[in-house]
Amino acid sequence: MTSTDTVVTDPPVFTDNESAKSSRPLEIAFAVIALTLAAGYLYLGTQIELRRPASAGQIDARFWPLVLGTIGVAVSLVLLVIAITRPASSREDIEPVQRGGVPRVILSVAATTAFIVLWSLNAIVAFGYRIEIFPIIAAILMLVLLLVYGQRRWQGLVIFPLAMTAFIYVLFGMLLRVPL
Amino acid sequence: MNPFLDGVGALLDPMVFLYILVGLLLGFLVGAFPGITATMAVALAAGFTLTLEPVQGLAVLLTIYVAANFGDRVPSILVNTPGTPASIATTLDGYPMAKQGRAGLALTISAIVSAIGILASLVLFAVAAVPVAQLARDYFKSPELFALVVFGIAIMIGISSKSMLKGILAGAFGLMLGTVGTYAATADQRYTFGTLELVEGFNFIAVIIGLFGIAELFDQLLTHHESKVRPISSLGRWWPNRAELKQTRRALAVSGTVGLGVGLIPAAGGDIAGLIGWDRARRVSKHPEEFGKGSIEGITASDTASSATLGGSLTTTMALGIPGDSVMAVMIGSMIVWGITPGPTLFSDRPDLVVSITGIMLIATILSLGLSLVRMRGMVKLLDVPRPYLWSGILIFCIIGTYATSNSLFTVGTMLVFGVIGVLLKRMSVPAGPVVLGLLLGPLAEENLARSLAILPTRPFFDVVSPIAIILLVLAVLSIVVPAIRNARRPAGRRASLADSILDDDTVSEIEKDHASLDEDAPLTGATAPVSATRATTEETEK
Repeated sequence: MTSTDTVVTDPPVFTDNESAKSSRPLEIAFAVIALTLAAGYLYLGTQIELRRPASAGQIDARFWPLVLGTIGVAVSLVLLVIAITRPASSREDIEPVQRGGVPRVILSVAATTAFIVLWSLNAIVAFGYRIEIFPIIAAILMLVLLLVYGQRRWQGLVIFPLAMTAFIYVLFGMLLRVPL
Repeated sequence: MNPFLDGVGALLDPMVFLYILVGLLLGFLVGAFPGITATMAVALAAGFTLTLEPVQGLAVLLTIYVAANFGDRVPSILVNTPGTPASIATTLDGYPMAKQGRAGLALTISAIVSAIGILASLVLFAVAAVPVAQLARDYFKSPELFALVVFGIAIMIGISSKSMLKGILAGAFGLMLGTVGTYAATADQRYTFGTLELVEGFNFIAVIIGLFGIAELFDQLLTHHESKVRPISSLGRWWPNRAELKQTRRALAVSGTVGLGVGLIPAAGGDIAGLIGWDRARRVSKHPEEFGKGSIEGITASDTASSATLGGSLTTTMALGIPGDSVMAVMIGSMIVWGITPGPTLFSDRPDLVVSITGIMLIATILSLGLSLVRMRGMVKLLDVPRPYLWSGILIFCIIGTYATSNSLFTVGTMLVFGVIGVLLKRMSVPAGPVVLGLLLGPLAEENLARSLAILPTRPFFDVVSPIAIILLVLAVLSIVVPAIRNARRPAGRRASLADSILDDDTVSEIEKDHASLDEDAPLTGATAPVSATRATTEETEK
């Protein structure tokens, strides 16, 4: 790894000193999602199966979730009312999303999810050999992530994934005996 | 053997020293990289330390905690960007000093006063931890413990939230997560949906790596852009002379006291202490006009105060079981996995741990100070590590670290889901601290509430609910109501969390003006990030 490697960076959508813009629809959407989740949690709380009813003075497994669900619904409702009736709160303390930022995150999540799914296969049998899948997919994941993050020089794209995978495999798989 | 010898004996294991060195290196690195917080590093390291002996694991985590407090000053002084939120106040005078060609002096003074602050706080921890724990053990029954948890979560909400409603929602969300799994009192299953992996609840380490590691990474992926700020290259002389050391005395005393006090408040960390300490020292200084313009007193105040919080934070964490800051929340999670539950009974069961913890932090502080005084020039080069390597490395280590806690891919999936949730919460100004605290302390709150409600019908109300519990509950309400009222009285555009509103608007604009004029007068580097931009990073108040 050298500091001279080429890194492709995205042009900023905003200048350094700008912050994220306040947005009423965003605040309303957040409040609606919070309300839906809290209401769902509250409803599921009423459905918790009790093996035996609570004795007098005791609280059962539903009590605490119902308290929390009620608080969640109440607070979400107030947030929703505020989001609808008041100007959207300032987002000065939040850095703006840069061009290319959202795809970077989506591709990272997708690559990691694919990695987890493939890792669950553990090993494959090919040409009569049992091949452990972790080192292969770990190196590919690193390569994909480097490409997504803007690394373009082939030395970095080859050496870094191989070196990291070897390091992880030796340290965790062989020395610490983590079943990779 | 007595506890002292037991505690010292545990430190004589050569592996402990090795782990301290590992923590030292990691702590410095994460401190020096802006955007990687100590919480993120400790959360990540927690995944790898679960298989170690408790003292060995504590050696890694506590040393990261200490060393990050030294490493984070480097980018604050040289690039005007705090390495971690705890060094936000360092930029106020550290960067102007660097612009004036006194970067070496700023780095040295910062390291020395940080060490003094931590050592003073360790004395506080060594002296106060056992009595506080004994007091809590003798007087805290179920109602008081329930009230203490409510107070802990409420003060975290009050300090870290810009919107109290969103903070309460975050706390409630954390408490809801804490209900997933088996209800201990009756063995009823809640919210498991028949999934075996959820029977014991969410994996705490996976959740914190998701909320503090992955979410932080995703936020950087969303917002990263090439910075025009280049590190200061002219470092100047390193060692302060006698007159300069004399200048630090008053600021050291005032801000040290502030740091020790703030550290004892649950959820209040180095970022808040640094800003309050800087403000207080300016008020008592003979030269307040020099603050924000490269004052030695200023950098002394900010760094002493932020470092002096460590011991107090450790005291509330270990003695009461209420995390002093978010790093400590992660630490509690790891300790529970090791079979050590921080709280009033910890030091009566394991008094040797006070000695071991103090010893680890003492060694870590001395080594960090030593490293700080010899490594500065090399550390600057770390700031140039290409981001693709850094980001992909963090992501793969988050995955492996989480997997190592349970050898289960379900846990890795949990981490990823909480990473996505965490970044969405972050973008909506919902603090992660109350979520983690709710998840961690929720079962404790429920258990003690259940016991209190069971006793209440049998005895008079005030026999069960003591004045301590009532005071804690009143304080919990005030922790949320007071910041809410303070924010409501400010114009809509100027509402902010406590950490973001310690310095008044006039002071902030004055500092920005001073920093801007320094750029025009002495262009040793490129553009300067404004104070308001550095203030934005205080959303990690839980740090």
